[in-house]
Amino acid sequence: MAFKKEHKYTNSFSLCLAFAVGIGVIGLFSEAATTAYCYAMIELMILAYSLNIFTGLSGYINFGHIIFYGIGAYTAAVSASIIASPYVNPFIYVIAGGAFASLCALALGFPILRLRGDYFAIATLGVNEAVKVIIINTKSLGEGRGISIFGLVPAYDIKGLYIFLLTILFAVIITSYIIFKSKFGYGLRAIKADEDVAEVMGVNTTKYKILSYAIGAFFAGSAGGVLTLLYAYAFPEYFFIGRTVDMLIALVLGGFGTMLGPLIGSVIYYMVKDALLIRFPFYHQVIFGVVLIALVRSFPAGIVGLINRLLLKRGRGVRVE
Amino acid sequence: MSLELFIQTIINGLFIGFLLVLPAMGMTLIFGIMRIFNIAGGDMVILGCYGLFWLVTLYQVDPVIGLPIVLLIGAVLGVGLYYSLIKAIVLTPGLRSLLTLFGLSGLMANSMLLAWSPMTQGVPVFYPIIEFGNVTMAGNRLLTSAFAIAGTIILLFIMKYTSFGRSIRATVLDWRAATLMGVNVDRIYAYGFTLGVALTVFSGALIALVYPFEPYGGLAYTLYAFCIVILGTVGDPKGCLVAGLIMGLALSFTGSYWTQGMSPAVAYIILVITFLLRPEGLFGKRS
Repeated sequence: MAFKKEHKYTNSFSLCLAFAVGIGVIGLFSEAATTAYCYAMIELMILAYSLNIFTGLSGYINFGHIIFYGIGAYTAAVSASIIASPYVNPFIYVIAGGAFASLCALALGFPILRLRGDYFAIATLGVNEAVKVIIINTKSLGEGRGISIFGLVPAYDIKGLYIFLLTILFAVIITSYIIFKSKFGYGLRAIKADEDVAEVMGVNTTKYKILSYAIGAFFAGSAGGVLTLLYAYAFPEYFFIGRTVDMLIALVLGGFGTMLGPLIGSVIYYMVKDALLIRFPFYHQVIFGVVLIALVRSFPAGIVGLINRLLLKRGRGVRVE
Repeated sequence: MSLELFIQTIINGLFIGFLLVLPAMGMTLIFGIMRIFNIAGGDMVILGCYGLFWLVTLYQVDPVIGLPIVLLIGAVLGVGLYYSLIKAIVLTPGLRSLLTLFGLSGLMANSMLLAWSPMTQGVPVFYPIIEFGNVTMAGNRLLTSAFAIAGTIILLFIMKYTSFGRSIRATVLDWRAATLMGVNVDRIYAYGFTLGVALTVFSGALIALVYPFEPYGGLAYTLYAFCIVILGTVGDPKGCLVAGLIMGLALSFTGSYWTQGMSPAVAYIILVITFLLRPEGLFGKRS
């Protein structure tokens, strides 16, 4: 190792911020259709980043991340119908969604995050089904019909909500960066490398895992809150497992546990998905099953990993993270 | 009335339990042998449902003849999957194996959605109902339970008394040591996976005779199987049998005294309680 060449990392954080500003400007100053396109892309980015904070860094696969998105959506709807005043800034509902999702993550994480690896992954897959069933069977949550908050929030105001979503995107990028560079982030990466060793070295693994789980849940919940504001409706289908596939593919495509990965992955994946959806409206979900298998098999480090391999081959002293 | 309801609930619970034991055994076998959680298990169950559905409605096959055919389909699927996908991910860390199987699960669910439309279906076969006073036993449930019990006993027998079963148990304990003792581990992987998938698909055909099914319904079965596997100690088919019956009773009591819709939530609550109180399962040794 003594002869290993020193290399510098590119400033991925500024790159991400620059990109976020770019997409924000494009979305804000164009017609509604483009805004909607950028809106969906940014939503996927937020989900991918929030998943990355936990799954990417600690290496624990989470198939149940979508529940926080759904819980956030329902919380926003419930809080809006309790406050029931059209004059309140609706961003409060978004924050409420994120906060409650975070609380749920703490409550859930306590029993299931004491598990290791695979066991945890399937437990999260089960959470999905359980939460959905509980909501469908709860009368006060509108059972299968969902909750309508029409008239209580400025619905279908895509430009206004776009700003909310951009705020969350910046927040999640900055939070990711802070976590990446802090002791917390190094602890999480140590867990990914070898949990036993990390524990011996004094990393409080359970606490770290639960904390990162809750932080990820906060951002996913906020994104769900914005979704409720957009449609003025919370609906059990927000827990659709297909969204989990979206997030995971975006993350694997970009690169697990990297700063730039979720961003690149989401952009490329969303563009491809949108194009496929138009051309093969019935087959695209099947195609994505194949895509996920192929990606994991032949491309496990994602685009960031590929760029790094190319840079290494060229002998450049720069790496992307 | 209430006593009869109670007895009826217990009987129904046992019926449900026997049906859920088979997919759980498939899952525990596959995990025990190659450390892969078969997330696509639920979708394989649904595939079995549609397999029998098709045989019965399209070709007018009698279900009793249809069941072995579905078992065969499952075995073929298992062999195909093993050599195309699974061989590369045996014993690899969770990220690769889990995501691969998750992709497979999406692929299967959506393919079935395309092939058979999102409508909820059922197999239109009804055997006569047997009654004792106010307690009734549907013929379909008796038949499926008989098949499930037979399958369970055969599997337990194979595991305990044949040399193939001994090789499997050795591999579950320690695959390196098993290799040193002359077990062809590669072959055990292939056979074990095929057996697991075949059992899962076969259980789907049994479930189709009792319950309605839809292409996206697989996740619930994955969840039930997983809960049973954890409750009955991972890699232990005997534990699966006991845990499966407990789970069946729990689901049945939920249905009788609360609402049927909450069953997955109850299964999940059992899972969480297991994790909190006895993470090694009912028959595990505390390490």
